[in-house]
Amino acid sequence: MTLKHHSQHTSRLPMKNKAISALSLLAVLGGQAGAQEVDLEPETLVVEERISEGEHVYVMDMGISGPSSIMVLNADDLSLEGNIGAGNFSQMLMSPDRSSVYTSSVFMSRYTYGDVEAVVTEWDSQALTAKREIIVSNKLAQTLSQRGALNLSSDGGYLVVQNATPATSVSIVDLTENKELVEIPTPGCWTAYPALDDMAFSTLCGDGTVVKYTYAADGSFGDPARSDKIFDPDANPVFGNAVRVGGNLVYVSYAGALLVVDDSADTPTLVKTIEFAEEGWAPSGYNLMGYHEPSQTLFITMHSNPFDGSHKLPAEEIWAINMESETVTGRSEANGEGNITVSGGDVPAVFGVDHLGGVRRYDVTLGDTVSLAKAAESEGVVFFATILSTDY
Amino acid sequence: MTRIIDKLLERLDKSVETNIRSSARQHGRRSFLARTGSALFGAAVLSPVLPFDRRAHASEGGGAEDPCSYWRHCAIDGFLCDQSGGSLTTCPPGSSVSAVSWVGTCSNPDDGKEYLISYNDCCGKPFIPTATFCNNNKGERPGYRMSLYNDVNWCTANTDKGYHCTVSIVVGTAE
Repeated sequence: MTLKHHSQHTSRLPMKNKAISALSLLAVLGGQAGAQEVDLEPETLVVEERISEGEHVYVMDMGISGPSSIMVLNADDLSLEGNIGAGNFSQMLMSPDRSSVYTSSVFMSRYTYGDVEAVVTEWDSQALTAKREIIVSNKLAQTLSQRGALNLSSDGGYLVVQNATPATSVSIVDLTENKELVEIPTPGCWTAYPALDDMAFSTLCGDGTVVKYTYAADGSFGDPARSDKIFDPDANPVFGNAVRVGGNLVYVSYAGALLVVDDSADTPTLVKTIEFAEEGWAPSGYNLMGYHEPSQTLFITMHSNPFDGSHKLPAEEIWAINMESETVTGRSEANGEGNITVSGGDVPAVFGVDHLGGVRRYDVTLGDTVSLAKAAESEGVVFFATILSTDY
Repeated sequence: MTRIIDKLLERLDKSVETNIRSSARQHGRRSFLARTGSALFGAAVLSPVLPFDRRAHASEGGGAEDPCSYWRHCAIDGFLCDQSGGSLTTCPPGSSVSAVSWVGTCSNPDDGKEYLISYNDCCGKPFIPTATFCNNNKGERPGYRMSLYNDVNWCTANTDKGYHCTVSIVVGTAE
């Protein structure tokens, strides 16, 4: 009471100090009193050293007016175990050995205005602490978290980072030297998926081609190698999301065809097109595909009654496509997911997040017919749901 | 004055169009997805409301029940500025107009004509959580057609790059 009265005439800081002092005194007195009555073991405040052993799913809550937060959930029951904090419009990439999570994001010095600093951060995927930061070009694309915007070279030595001012380019970040190596202009093109066998990446372009760019450790880069026109950006565009299937890149069109692209040679080539969508159905979502290598099964989010503009609608079903037989092997009920990821293991789990931030785990039954069954769900996990990944 | 005109026009439009189909839906503020565009560099800065074809406004539009179904929002992706302190055609006080924008082609149900719409972001302030978030994608394309892409922050070319809200500006006819 006295404190309250006094605070009306003093600054906020003295008020705070006095309050802390009073609370401290109460705590001491309380502790002594308690010690007289019970043998109380004082509690010790510690920080959890890491998330639990086992399997987890990482769900990006992309910040547009402040930090992005990667929510780390137990993969079995989707309970929250911690989070990772990056800057605005963060991208996310799980390292191949699952030990690190990479983010690329921007920090505005006054949160919503002021100078921008773009940062690539490597995080310990289990301790959820930062291992290192690399300052990169502030041209870094402030874009929805997507798999084509942040990738690792096949040898693990470089990050391939999408820029947009909105003029597009790609930055190569040297992870040995901890610095940006070179910025490669990629006008009219979007996303960058590293090649498997050389220092190169391929990007989708607005003229319906795929263009491959090579670079070298000294920062030099070659002329773009452009494929034939493989899709029609006007009549049947292709999503930016691609997955690796065998040695090829697989894209998907708005209308529901898989475009299998060989990017191993100097110039990318279209290997084949797999028409899989039945009449009245089409793909939709953002990070809408995931691939399970052991079973050669590609999973994709789908919606019915497609129309111009429906390509981001929440999923009604998740389809399974066997990439060897090139047939749809399963159609399972979805719950509005717009982004999915597929775990490893002999039998995968599919995780998805809907536009209201609800996360679900689907257990998969493999065989001639593939089916998904909802095994766990947690609503409202994130605010701006985008990309997700697993550590197994 | 502009706001008064906008309110009047909005009232004229009150019957809400329906041809944006059911997907022109309001995903609510949790959805997300940004904005894009590049073609109209500076267009909105030079002529925030013009060219001003009144027929473009004298249609069914908006409506409190589903503001996202207003016909010119057919490719919008963002928080509505008219619920953030601005109006259909103005940015809220103290913000700045995005120097670049993405474009859409929307059909006015009143005259059946196609209009070019510039989706400009207003920049430099936090978004308003209570504002409606609309996510429509007619004609939207990935970033390889950047001027049609609505999943990037179109405040990125501004001095103040924070995303605040989005307006739908009629800039011409598509015919």
